[in-house]
Amino acid sequence: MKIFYSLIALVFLLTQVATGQNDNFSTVKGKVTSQEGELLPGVFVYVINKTYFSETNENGTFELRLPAGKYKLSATNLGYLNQVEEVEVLPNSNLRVNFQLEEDPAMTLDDVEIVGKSALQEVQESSYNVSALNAEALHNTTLDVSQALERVSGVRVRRSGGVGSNTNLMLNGFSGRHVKLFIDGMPMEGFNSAFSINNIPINLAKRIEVYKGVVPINFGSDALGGAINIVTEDGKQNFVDASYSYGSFNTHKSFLNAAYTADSGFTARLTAFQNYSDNDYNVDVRVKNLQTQVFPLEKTNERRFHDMYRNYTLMGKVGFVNTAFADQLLLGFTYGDEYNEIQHPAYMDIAFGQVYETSETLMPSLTYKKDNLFINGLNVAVRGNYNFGEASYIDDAMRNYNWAGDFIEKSEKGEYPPYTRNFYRNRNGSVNANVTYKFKDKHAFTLNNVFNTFSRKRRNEAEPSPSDDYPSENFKNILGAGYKFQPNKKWSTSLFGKYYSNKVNQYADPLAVGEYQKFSKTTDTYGYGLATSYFLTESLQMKASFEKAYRLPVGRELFGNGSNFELGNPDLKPESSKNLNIGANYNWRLTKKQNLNLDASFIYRDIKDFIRRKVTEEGSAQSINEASVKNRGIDLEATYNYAKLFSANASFTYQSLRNKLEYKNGSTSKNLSYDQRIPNMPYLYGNAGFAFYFNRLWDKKDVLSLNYNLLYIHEFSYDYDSFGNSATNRNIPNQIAHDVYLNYSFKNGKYNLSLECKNILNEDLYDNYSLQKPGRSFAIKVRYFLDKF
Amino acid sequence: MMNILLRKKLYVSVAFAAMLGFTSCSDDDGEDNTVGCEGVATEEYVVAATSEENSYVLTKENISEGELSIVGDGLQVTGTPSWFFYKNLAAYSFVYRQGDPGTTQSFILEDCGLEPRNPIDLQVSIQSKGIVGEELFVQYSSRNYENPEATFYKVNGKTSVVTGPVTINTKELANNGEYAYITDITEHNSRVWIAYRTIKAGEDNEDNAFNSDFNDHTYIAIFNEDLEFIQRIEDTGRTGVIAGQSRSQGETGIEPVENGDVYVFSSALDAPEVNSGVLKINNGTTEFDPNYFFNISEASGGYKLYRTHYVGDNTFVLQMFTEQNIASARPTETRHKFAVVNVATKSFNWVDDVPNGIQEIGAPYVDKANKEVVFPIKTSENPRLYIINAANHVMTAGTKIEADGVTAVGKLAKQ
Repeated sequence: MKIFYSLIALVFLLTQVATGQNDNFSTVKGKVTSQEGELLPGVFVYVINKTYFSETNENGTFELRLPAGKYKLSATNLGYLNQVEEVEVLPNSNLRVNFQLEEDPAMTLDDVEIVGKSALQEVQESSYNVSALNAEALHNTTLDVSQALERVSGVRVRRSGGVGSNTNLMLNGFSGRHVKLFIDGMPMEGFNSAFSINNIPINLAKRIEVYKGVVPINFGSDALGGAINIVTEDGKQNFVDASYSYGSFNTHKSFLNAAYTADSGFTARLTAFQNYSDNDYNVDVRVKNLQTQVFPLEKTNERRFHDMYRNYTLMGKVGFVNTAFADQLLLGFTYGDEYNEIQHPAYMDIAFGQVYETSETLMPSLTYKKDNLFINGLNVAVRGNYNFGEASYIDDAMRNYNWAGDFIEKSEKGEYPPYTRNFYRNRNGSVNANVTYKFKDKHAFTLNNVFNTFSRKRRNEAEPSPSDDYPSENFKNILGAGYKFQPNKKWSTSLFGKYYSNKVNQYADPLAVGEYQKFSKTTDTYGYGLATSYFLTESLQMKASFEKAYRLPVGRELFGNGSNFELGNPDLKPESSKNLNIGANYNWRLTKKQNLNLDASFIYRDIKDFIRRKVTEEGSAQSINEASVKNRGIDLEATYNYAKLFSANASFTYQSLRNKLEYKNGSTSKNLSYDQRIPNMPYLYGNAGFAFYFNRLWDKKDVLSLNYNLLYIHEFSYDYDSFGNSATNRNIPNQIAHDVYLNYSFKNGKYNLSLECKNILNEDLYDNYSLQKPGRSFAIKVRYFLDKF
Repeated sequence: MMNILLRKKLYVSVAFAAMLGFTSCSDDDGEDNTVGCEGVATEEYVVAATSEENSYVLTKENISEGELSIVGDGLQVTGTPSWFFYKNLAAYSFVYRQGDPGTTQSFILEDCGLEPRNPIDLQVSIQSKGIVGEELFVQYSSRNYENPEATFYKVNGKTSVVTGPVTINTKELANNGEYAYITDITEHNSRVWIAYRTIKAGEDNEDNAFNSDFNDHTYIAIFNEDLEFIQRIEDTGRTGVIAGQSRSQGETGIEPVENGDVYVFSSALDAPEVNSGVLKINNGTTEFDPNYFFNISEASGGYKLYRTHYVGDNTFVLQMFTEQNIASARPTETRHKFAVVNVATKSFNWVDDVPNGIQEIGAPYVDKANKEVVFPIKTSENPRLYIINAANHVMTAGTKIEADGVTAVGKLAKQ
């Protein structure tokens, strides 16, 4: 369309030049805005039946020089109704004419995608196996980032309880250290729990990108199983987003995000959020007799009484955007503070009454980004942050509790002696530097380097240890080089290589016999990968990607954690995996108003030297390179839209994650778990949802929406299926949760009121063995959102 | 009251069982409701086998042959706890993981096999344990001089009722400037006999909390059943501390025999120049017999003992350290040798036919009636039960166990 207008403009221009300029001209100036006050650039302003024309610049202003006379001035822009103003131009004068364009209802009912591809779509259409979640669609809910992630195929987030509880992210059979998290491309590794996916509200994110198995080099990480990137930068220059919600279990959440950008490019951004919950939901547990310490055999329904969680986070950024010297130059800081009462240890059989943990983080950051630096096509981005973190875990009460919340006083410190007063001090920093050079539109070279330093000191006041004086240190550098070839709009291919280097320093006692030593170990290795995609037709895209990926062992695995029970193994090798994805995306425009998008991918993972914790007969554990695991799986996603009236979506994941170690080290008997499904790992799950939108109910800019979401996780066993008497084996039962929410948006989304009910049927939900999640809960949320000012 | 209730329950069960018996006799439709309960003998060996992450408890009447498997069989127990058999009544599974406590589960043998009893809450990581009367004493000693305490809990083996904690000041107990670290608990003549070593517990600013200037001393303390200190028994210069210790856990060493004499076994841990050996405390006395010493290091040709298992008639089966002149709490120092000794005659015989390539040895069952000790042993093959016959000091292979490992073997009887 733009090209078409430009052509017309060119023709006009030529005519203008041919007819020559007249001296008796006056100036007509003005600006074009939308009805919401948004300045509209690129609007074609012309004189009807004459050859005078102009186009608005990025500030939405235009200028015309016309001879005196009466004219009909028209402003026209795609997606808006034409507007005509009659003007009279006096000789040698200045005239101001402003246009306010009304949206074309015929166009707005249609999908907006014809206007141009959104960043979200661009991510989805990259050659990588990536799912992009549009977080903005969830901004009126009370979800945190981890809950939103559950809607992506291949992803499971296992939660141990309510608000602020531990989360374990699983991606196509990988979990824990195999899946790396990023926020705006910066690794979140080593961030304190005061700033993590279980407390970051979804409103902070514009979108969430989930890279499955094959990770682009600009993330520069030893992400064996994939990477998740939370994108907060939304390019919006001036806005306010403020919300507050109140819900069951005395849960309060508030959020404020605001940005101001001056014409000079100066910008200031502030984000603040808070979560609070008593998490006092009911669970089925055994209440022990405090006098005898004996538990009954039957469970009763009890209210959790020591699970309060609260956190505050404050983030600020100042700097410049869109100036001659930088597209982005931002100095930022993040402050987070968290307090978490701990109701129970790893299993829900015993209750704590006073145990708690705290966490605090202060993190300055710097971002510099400039496209076309010095020469055209040279894009440079450098980001860095440094995290000062403190944390503690305290169990020093002289009490003993049961699940009824009753307690007895006792003579020794610690609910579970020896008492614990653990203090942690974390210092970690990351620098991510990225240079991309694009030329001839077809080629792009990228060089990326990520350096990560991590240092942690631990001190238990109750049991001072020689290692208290020495930090555990980890220096990691990942250098990546990539080449992207895109000869046309149909075909795109990226090749990349990564060089991993890791140095670990630890003062440790790997065998837990009181013999401490300074250890240091450096590991180097390299990996490589490829991603390619091809549009067979305009709406059918095929994708394939492969990576030989690595994950480097961490200090705890190499040298133990200083306790008697977590031993080290300094000989550990990095884990590796061959990750392959083959997928297709079909975007089917059923009619002008209906759109169906289908995405299917087949995943294959071949993991070698898997690091697993081997438990000895005395209950201590050591990490060993042993397991070999293969995973074959499918991820399916579908979305359907009927104009702006109805949408539905579904995702489905099945994986066959199998132990492929035929003989264990030093064993001539066949491994009993050979070829069996890896236990304690969800393998069949999905979700489905729909939304109805009722437009123009009260006012024409109001929208009422009714949303429903179903989450299903198929039952899975706690240990390998074939072991033990199946009648008495433990398993994690089927989970079915129905969530509904109702939202009313006034004034084009400026004011929003929503009501939500999670787990409406009050089903017993478990992500982990014995750890019961909350039952039915309600919440109300109010949100104010001013897009532009 | 409790008893009456229990008895009532028993009557009801008996009545119910009788009814079931009747119905299954009169009902001739082939459906046998009691089928799951058949084949459980009055006494069964109990084998705690493990997968990589969890335990499966298996039972078998005869362990001299045949196979057991965790594939499709076994009562699942979360994690890999350590096991302790309270007489032939109950098998206790103890969770050692400090900082991540869990309940203690115990199992008894019923008509239909193993049944879990009511779990209990033990707020202690257990380092040593012993049976005193009807109670199981469990204990944890601090290795930190700033907190010089040993903490005891008592668990009633029948009712599982927990009492405690009782704490003992380890500095006072050591009485030599160091701190007592308890390694064995035994009942003898209605007293609680406790073996301990003394350690510096970090007071010397050194990394190893187990550093000591007293590794050539042998220490025993006698307490009453309320853990009130009565007296200390000490020997110097002949052998070392009583500590059948692997990492922090100690077991065995104070061993009363039928005539009331007590034999005291020392590994001479962490003391290369000290002999491993056996001392004796004669019945009725509370001092070491100055005329009795059985030098195990010498009798074995330079090897040190680890733990001892009494089969009767002054005969002990010893598990020994594999390497000459080494006795250490380090798990990397293996304990793959076995010997049979008679402490009265001071005879020493290595056990024959021990399998090659031992990788792990579980907690044994001592069969006094047959003078045998049964060890679960894992080699490059799946684990297997091996039976040491003390009479001819030969090890014979018994039941094979299809599992990743075996933590313990014991025996339970229907009550």
